[in-house]
Amino acid sequence: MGAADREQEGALVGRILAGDAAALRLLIEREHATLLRFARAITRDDDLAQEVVQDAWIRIHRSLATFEKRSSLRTWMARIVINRAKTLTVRAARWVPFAEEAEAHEDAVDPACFTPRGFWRESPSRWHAETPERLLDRQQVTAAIQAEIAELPTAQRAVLTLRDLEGWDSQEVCNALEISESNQRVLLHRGRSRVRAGLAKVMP
Amino acid sequence: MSLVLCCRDAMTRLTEGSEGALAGAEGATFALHLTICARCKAYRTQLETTVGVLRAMPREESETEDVEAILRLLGDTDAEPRG
Repeated sequence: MGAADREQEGALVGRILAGDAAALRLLIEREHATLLRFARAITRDDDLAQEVVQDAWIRIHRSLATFEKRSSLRTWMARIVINRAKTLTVRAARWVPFAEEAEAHEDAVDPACFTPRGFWRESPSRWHAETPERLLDRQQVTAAIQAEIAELPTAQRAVLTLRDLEGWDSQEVCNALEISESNQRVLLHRGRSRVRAGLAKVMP
Repeated sequence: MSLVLCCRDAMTRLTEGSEGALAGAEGATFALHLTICARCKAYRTQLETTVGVLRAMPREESETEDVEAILRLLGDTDAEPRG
């Protein structure tokens, strides 16, 4: 997110704090879907995600005056969503810290694909060079990707959602999830690798 | 990192390498492996295609009724005494 975006964001916050209802509507229109998708990623439960995001909006609205612009507004809002999700899922004993998941061992590529010395047993197949848009025209590709994303472990799903589906940069993701750059890359790589494996099943 | 990188280690570090997070000898060894290893290049192409498809997935837009519901909720909570 660039300086111009941050400036626009600051102006929007100023308008909301001054009581501009149109500015508040604009913020909700712009960010609600992202917050909901993110909440679904970290709670793995549609109903709970709705509850978390509604609760988060109340807190965002009430505490907007305390937003100090040390991070981007959407990072700050994502942190509020995480805190609400944590509170609600900790009650249900389902919360696993993001960093803990990154530090657990997981092979991004099936170890059976490699010789004992670590070289490929067989070459990965060459995928036909089709544009992503053409690939997405195939229903089975979209379905395979959605199914893999839904099955990702929570931290991988959270990072992949923000980086690849929402287009956030790595620094914003690290700030929102409070994880190191290194853990963020590990989680992103594992998540992408799992989605690749799912996609491989339907690729020509 | 050894000067000879095996495919398994190169593939474990693929996202790090492609995001420029490997510096110095590590980065050079990684780049060299990807230059000469056709199998790793094929896997990298698969992963790049995957990322391309993920980024091309249609973004969900906020539903109008959801936005209205949130605005009503905020209006209602504004009217409540805080404390």
